[in-house]
Parts: sequence; C-alpha cells; structure tokens
Amino acid sequence: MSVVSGERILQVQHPARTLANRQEPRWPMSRIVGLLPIVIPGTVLLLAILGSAFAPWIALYDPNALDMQATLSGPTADHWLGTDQLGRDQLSRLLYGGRSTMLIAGLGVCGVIGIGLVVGTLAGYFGGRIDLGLSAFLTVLLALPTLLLTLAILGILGPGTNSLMLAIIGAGWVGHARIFRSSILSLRQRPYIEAAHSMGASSSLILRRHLWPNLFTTIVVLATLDIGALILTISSLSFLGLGVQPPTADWGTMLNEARPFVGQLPILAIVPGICISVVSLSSNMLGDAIRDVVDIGRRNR
Amino acid sequence: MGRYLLSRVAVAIPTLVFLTLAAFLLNAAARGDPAEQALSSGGNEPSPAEIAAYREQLGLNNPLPVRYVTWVGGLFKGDLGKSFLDQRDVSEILGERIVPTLRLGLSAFAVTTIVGIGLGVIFGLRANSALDYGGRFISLLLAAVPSFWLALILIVYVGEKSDYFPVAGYGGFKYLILPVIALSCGPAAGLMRFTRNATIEVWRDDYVRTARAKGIGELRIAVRHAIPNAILPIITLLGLRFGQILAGSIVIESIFSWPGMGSELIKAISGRDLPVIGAYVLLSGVGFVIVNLLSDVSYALIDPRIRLGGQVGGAT
Amino acid sequence: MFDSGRLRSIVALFLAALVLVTGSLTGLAQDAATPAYITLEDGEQLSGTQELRLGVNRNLVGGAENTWYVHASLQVWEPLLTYDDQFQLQPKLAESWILSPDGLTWTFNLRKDVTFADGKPFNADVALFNIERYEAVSLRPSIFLGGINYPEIYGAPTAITKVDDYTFSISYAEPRPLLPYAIANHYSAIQGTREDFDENYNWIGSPNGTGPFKLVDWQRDQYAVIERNDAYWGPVKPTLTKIEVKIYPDANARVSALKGGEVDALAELAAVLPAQAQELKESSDFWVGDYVSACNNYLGFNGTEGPFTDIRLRQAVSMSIDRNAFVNDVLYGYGRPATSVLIGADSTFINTDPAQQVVYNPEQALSLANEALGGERQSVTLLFNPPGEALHGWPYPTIAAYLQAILAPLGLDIELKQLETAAVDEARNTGEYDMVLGANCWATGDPDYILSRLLDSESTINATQFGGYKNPEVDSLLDQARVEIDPARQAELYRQIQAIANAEVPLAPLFDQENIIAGTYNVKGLNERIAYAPTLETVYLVERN
Repeated sequence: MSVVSGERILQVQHPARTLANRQEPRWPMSRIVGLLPIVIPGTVLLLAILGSAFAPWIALYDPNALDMQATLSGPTADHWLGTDQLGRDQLSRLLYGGRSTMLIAGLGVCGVIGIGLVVGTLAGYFGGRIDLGLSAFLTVLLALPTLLLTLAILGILGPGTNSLMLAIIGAGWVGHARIFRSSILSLRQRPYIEAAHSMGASSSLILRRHLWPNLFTTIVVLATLDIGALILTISSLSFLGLGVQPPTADWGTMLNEARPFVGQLPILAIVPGICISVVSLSSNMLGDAIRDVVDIGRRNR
Repeated sequence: MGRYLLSRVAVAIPTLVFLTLAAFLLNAAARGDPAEQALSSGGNEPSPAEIAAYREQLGLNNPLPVRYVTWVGGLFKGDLGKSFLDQRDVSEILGERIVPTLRLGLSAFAVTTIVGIGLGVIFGLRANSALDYGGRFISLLLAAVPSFWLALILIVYVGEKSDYFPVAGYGGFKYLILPVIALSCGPAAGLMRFTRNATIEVWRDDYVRTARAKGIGELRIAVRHAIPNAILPIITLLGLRFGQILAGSIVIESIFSWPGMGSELIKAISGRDLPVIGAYVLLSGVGFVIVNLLSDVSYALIDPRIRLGGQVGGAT
Repeated sequence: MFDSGRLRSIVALFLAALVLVTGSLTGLAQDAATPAYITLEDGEQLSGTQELRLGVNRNLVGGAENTWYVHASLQVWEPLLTYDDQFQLQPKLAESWILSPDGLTWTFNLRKDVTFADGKPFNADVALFNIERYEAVSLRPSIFLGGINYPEIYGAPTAITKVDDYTFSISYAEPRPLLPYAIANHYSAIQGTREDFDENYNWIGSPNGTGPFKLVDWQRDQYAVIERNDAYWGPVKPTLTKIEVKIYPDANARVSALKGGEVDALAELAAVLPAQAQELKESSDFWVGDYVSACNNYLGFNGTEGPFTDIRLRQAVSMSIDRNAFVNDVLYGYGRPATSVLIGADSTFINTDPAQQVVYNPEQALSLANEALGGERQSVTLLFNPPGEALHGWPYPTIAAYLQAILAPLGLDIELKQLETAAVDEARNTGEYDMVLGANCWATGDPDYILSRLLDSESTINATQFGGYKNPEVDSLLDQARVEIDPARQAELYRQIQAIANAEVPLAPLFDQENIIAGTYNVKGLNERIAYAPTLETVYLVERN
C-alpha cells in the first residue's frame, strides 16, 4: 500500500550486502536465463504502456459510448471482453483505464522522485541546520503510514484525479527523500568528491557531474518499484470512490462499478483485477531484476 | 540502553506534537462547513442563522491558535471533541470502533508475522531451489494483487459458496477469517521476501560457514545462529508492516462491513466529520509511533551493541 | 305491528345466534392460532422458531441522547397518526383529528385502550409531554431525519391544551391546515412517559413504546435485537418472537450476506440496489419485492449563473429525457418515471393532468436548445454523489453517464464530477456547478415541505444554493395554499403550483425511487411501507417438506 515500503528502503540502502551474497552462475546458459527476469516483466510492462498510450488508436469503441441494447453481455465477437451495465465495451474501457491509471502512476512517480531528490540533496549535500531540520521533518512524516497521509491530503482536497495525484505525491516523496539523503551523504564522503571540492568545483557542478549520475541506478530501481506500488494505491482509492471519477475509465473505478454484477458476469471484475495485478507484479519483478543486475555489475567492476 | 531508549523517546515527542498539529490543521483546513453538514444531515435545510449559531456553539469562529490550544487541552482530558455528524463524543465513537479494528489488525499482524517469517526462513534455507523460486513468485504475486480485489473474490467465491465462512459483518472467530486473509496477504508476502533474503545473508556469514564446516547440524545452526541474527532487521520491518496493515484495514473494513475505525474514517471523510478524521489520524499515528518504539526496544534487547550505547547499524 | 311475544322470540333467536357466532368465532380462534395474514401453501408449515435475521443498510437505533431512540422501522414506538402508501393520513394512537371552522385549532382524539410495553397507560398527558419534548430537543442533531425542526413542523402554537384525558388541542394565530400531514409518523412519535426521561429529555433506561416490538439489545454499527411485545394493544399481533437486525453498510456485502446465509432477508432503506435485484431475481433461492418510496430523484440546475439561467435550456434538458426508457434502461425497471415535482406516490396533491406534467418531446427540446445556444456547443458540469450512500443509494454514476450521453445531441458537453456529500453541498453553496443530481425525500406527506423548499424564491435551494428560481406567482400561491382551510381548494392550489413548475423547470424531476427488498423463501409476509418501514408485524417463517 505504501509507495516504497521498508524492506525496499533497506535493500536499496545496502546494495553491498546483497551483492556479496549472490551465487556465482553455474552454467554458461545462465546468461540468457539470467536475462529472463528482466525481459519477461519488461515486455509485459512495455505492452501495457503501449496499449495505454495508443488506446485511442487500438480501441474499437468510445470507452464512454452507451449501448443500452447490449448491456451486460459476456464476451462476443463484437465485444471481446463483453460489455458493462451501460453497454460500454470492456476492452476499450480497459485500454483507456490503463491509460488513466498508468498516466497518474507515471506522473506520480516523477513527482515523488523529483521532490524526494531535491529534498534529499538539500539535506544530504548541504548538511548542517538544513539537514537537521529536514531530517526531523522526515522522521516525523515517516512515522505515519503512507496511505494514511494520502487519505488525509485527499480529505482536504476532496476526491478527484488531480487531488489523487497531489495526494500520492504529497505522501510518497518522504521515503525517497530519506534514501537519497543517505546515498548522497555517503557519496559525498568519497575521496574523489572531496578532491573535486578542494579543486574548487562548484556545488552545482559536483551535483550534476558526480552525485546525481551516481544515483541513476537507484532512481531507476525505485521508479520501477514505485509504478507497481502506486498502481495499487491509485486503484484502491479509485475503488473507494476517492480517486478517478466516473465515467472516466480507470481500473479501480471499473472494479467498483462491477461489484454488483460480480455474480452475474464475473469477467467484469476479474479482468481489471488481473490487469492491476499483472502490471504491478511486472513492475515489482523488473525492479528487483534491475537491482540484481546492477549489483552484479558493481561487483564485477 | 537507557540513553538509547531516551533518544528514541526524544524523537517520538516532536512526532507526537506534529501529529496533534497536523490533525488539528487537517480539521481546520478541510473544505465544507461542518456546522451546515451536521444540521443538514438527513435532508434538512437549515437557515443561515441556524448555521451561524451552531458555528458559534462549536467554537468554529475563534482564531486558530485559540482553537488549537483548546483542542490540545481537551486531548489531555481524553476529549477528542464531538462528532459534527451526530453530536456524540469522538472518543466514544472511536472507543466503540477501536476494538474491532484491533481485533482485525492484530489477527492480521499475527498471521503476517507467522506466515511471513515462517515461510521466509524455509525459502531462505532452501535458496534457489524449485521451492524457493515458487515461493518467490507467489510472494511477488501476492504483493501485487490488490487487497480489495482479493476481498471481492473471497466474498463471492468463498463466502457466498460455503456455509462455514460468514461473508461479511462483525462477529466471532469465523467472521475474522476472510478479512484477515485479504488483509495479510500483501504484508505477509513482503515480509516473506525480506525474511528469505535476511536468512540467506546470515546463512552465508562466516560463523555459519564455520559452524557448518565443523559439522553442526543445519537445523541446529538455523535455530541457534541464523534465525536470531536474521531477526534483527525483521523486527524493524514488523513495525512498518503494522502500519501497512492499519492502512490496509481502511479498505478491507469498508468492503466487509466491519465496524472498525477504518470504515468510520471513510464515513467521516465523506461526511466531512472533521473531529473524527483528526482523531483517527492522531490515534493511528500515535499507535504507529508506539509500535515503532516497541520495535526499537526489542531491537535493543536483542542486540548487545545497542544495549551498550552504540548506534544502530550504519543507517542514516 | 309486532306483538310482544313475537318480539321476545326474535330477540331470543337473535341472542342465540349471537352466542353461537361468538362461540364459534372464539372456538375458531382457539384451535387455529394463526393470524389472518398467514397463508400457508401446500407443503408449507410454520417454523417452530420464529426468529428472523434481517440485514439492513444503517443503524436503526440512535441511542438515549437521540431525538428518536429507535427508528420507526423497528416499530418500537407508534405515532399519533401515520400515512398509507398513497400518503393518505391514517389513525394510529390518535383516532381522529378535527380542524375548527376558523382553521385555527386542531383537536386530536386519542385511543383509550393503549398501554406501553411496561404497562403504563397512554393518554393526553403523555402525548403533550412528547410534544413538549420535541420542542425542547428542536434542532438537536440526530442520525434520523437530521433531528426535528420544531418551528418548521409544529409552527408557533399559541396554546397546546389538554381538553380531557384523551383529547388535546393545538391553537395557532393563523390557520395551519397541513399540521396533521406535517406531524405524521416520526414527528408525532410517542416514545415514552415523563418518567422515562431525564431533565435533558434523554432516556434514563431503555426505550419505552406502545409498538408491537421492544428493543432488547443493540450495538452501534453492528446489530440490534428486538423482541415481540406480548402485551401489544393492537389488533394485529406479530408472529415473529425475535428479530436480529444486522448492519451491513456496504451494499454488496449486504447481498453477499443474504447469499451466504447469514441473514434471511434484506429490507429497509436502499436494502437492495436495482443492479443487484436483477441477479437475485434470476436465482431460484430468493424472492425480490419492490415498493415505491417517498424519494424523488431530480436533476437540479444552477439558475443563478451560467447557461441554465436560460429557461429554454432547462426545458430542453427536461424534454430530452424519456423517463420511461430511463427507468427501464438504467434502473432495470425499479423506479417510477417522475411526472411532477411532487413525490409521485402522493394521491392528494399531485397534479395528474398530463398537459400539466413533465413532458418528453425530443424535437421541441432540440429547437429550444438551438434557440438558447445558437447552435454552439456548451460545456457544463454535472455533480453527483458516489453510489451507496443512504438517501442517495441509487446508481448516480450510471445515471450521470446516461444523462451525459442523451443530452449530448442538445449541444451540451457534460463534465461529470462525482463528489462526496459534503463537497456536493459546498459546490452548491458556492455555485460551482451547472447541474446536480439530488433527491427529495418526504418524511411526512406535507406538500408545503417539498414545494416550498424547491420553489419558494427564499428557499435554501433558490436563495443560497444558486437554484435561482423566482416566480412571484408561485410565491404567492405557496403562501395562499399553506393557510387554505378548504381541502379541495388547497389541493387545487398545489396542483397549480406544480403546473407552473413543470413548465418552467426550475429542476427536472427524473424518477421516484423504488425500494427493493429480498429474502429466502422461508420468509413470508415481508413487505415494505412507503417510508422504508418493513412490515415486521406480518412476517412469519415457514418450513417446506
């Protein structure tokens, strides 16, 4: 439920610990097999992103077009995944729903990482009172479950897509800021940074040239993992009626609208649920796999 | 140890102050006029004069600092204010609701802990076996399945079909089963993955290797060395899991019509029942702080380095 | 001319017959203890235990500090008077009520044989105490009906007088002919005697009523248990000995509880949603019943700002809606197409002249919209609540999506905005909306209650919620109707008001909700009255061989 939960923070924070313990590949074939954990979820995620991005061109129907003559039909030649209570084509709604869900998740990830990076850099690089103040603030915010913060912000702003985005960003950046802060803190103490400092390099140059590029892999891993976590948060809030508002198709709202019909036409609830699970699963697997590869790369260096 | 704990408590205090401030400001900043909400529930349409009088009665016209001080003063007397919706004491409302939430939350927490740690250790000891790969995939899958969807599926395909499982509502042990499953799958999957990795790490540590070289039985190594060492980071994680379960219960309670604090929160948000929202944030925040303190304490009890006044790991 | 002998023999014969008839009647009553409402089909017999488990939507017990300890649905208390499903007034604890010729004084005659569950008698003192209590607890928030607004319901009586032990009167400075409608049901509930309350008019112990059931246990948000009041005074005695009322606020959880066998039936407010009814009906395990409710759902307009200040556009919207098709398509037939701004179930004041009701005329709608918009497209917002909330339990998102589709041809691009109740109210108060879905629910049968609040230019909707409807003629007709003591003339005035409103469309009535209930085939005799009250007193459980 939380954006990036504790064990991930700990894992990302200590890449050295996991890399030392990774087993040596036993077979030469393992190179190919080893890539599968990246290729498979990566392909699934890519398909989902493409499907959502090109939904207007792929979908055969307007996702909000009603057809009262064809309500609640099961899968047919015209409607591969059937229609809902208003005769709307489920496949089209699923594609558009993915679009809405993934767009919010994508923007959410950008916001969460962006704010986290800025705050983390401020605290970790400049240290001193700024660090003290920010760290205290972060500690306080981290004392609350992310979903609770999200709900609290959503409570102030009122439900809706924009509020949902603000709420997940407003509650999600805290954990990231802490990770970035400690990464930058440890990077800053490396000899070559100290050297750059003593050679009179400006702070912005050091940040751009040396510190931020070093965070790149952490950012990729966090972002990939975030997508999965955010999709779960977005869909559960939309499901509760607090997120994306009908009739906009969204996987969470679709599930909510399907509830009365679960017994009659289970496919209405099953398919969006599978979509959420598969995309979230893929992003988790991909994130894990990238992290493993990065760790191996570091070890071989 | 005393100093360590003192420093932990010292961190908790600003958190608590922040919580009261946040909960209070949440109330003050929210949209919608609570006085009008209360008077117009059920289809009444109060006149502006009635609303103004009620605002005065609720103290909504005082300046913010005055309202904050009044509010915090009330907290020490156990006064969380009155619900705007039905005029009952918030402490009374949440008092009724806290027991169901704790029952659900603690049961889910227990299941999460037992299943997550148990399976995690097993998979960790059998790392990279078929069992482990299966376990990893299932744990990834369970972490990815939305709990509310799982709840729906459980209700329709288990609750409605079987005579044994009650579908929804509040009651004894039987009523707990389905919501607890829906609530603990995600957290348990995460805990399982983490425990597995922690176990693997410990299993590869030098002293375990030495012990194995000496020919000490695997089970004995696991029980005497590996598990106690792996348990440290797991305890920190348990605190976070508690928060995840608490947050997840908001959704699960609504779906199962479980009369706990979570479903009350959803009701309060939609009715703009500000004192209830604020009290919920405050209570669950305080609960979370306490759980974290407890995990710090047990951390200190287990790890001698901390007991002697050292710092925890290298973290931050 | 009868001689005395023949007269005597006739009297004797008559007496003998009388003895015989009464004898056979009492005999009948003794050997078949079955009340008249029970009809057993072949292979059916009454269950040995008559204990019902009923699933409901909401708390039906408010507690000792509430205006009503228990909701009317549980039948723990009874009102002075009530209404039937056509909103015709019916006697309950008051046998009759008479308006003085000058229209200034109502006199209520009370039943003489009524006792409370604890044995105390009901009389005029008790009735007057309850009215005194309503005045004292006026505007106190309540989870039922939002409490009582005494000045609105009872007005400003100049005198409330006990005439004798079973008669009292209420006098006013100006005629108040609608008082019996206004106080029917909840607002004349007799909930105990003075000894049952403390000085703040809160209950000291458990609630004391004259109804067929009594409250024995309850836990807020979980359950309420009522048992039969064996000392019930009324003519119809319940068969059920005990009812466990279980609360499932979530509509889907409720239906699941029925399917999963945790409850025997679902009833009360918004028990089953139209979409769910379809599925239950198709299964062979459950019966489904639907009953017209006192809630009229409407499409409201911002008539103060924006495009709907133009009467032609409002008319165009109303004329585009084929309410019959709407009810069939969106509500699966579980609703009544609205014909007027008043609640459709009413039979006294409703305007039944088709020429004066709301009309469906797509051609005229198009031309009106063209005139108003000049062929341009217009973006408007439509606010609505999430589904599943108590009074707004109907599928608003579905309704909103349907309206969006059918109003598009007029040139309206509707942006749908689902907001929670509080945010909808806020948007209405700030005018940040063009259209809104809402419901008018009738608690009493008083036409002024609905029509004034919708149409009076000073009403909340019009004055502070940007309804903006102002018609001096309607204002004056409302003022006249309120004090008109000739019932026929009064009804005529209300019909005139509706005719104007139906033509000028300050709001577009859509449909009257139907309340859907369901149960297993072991539950018989369960119906629902218009104000959601399940007929618990006639329910019986059967077993089949």
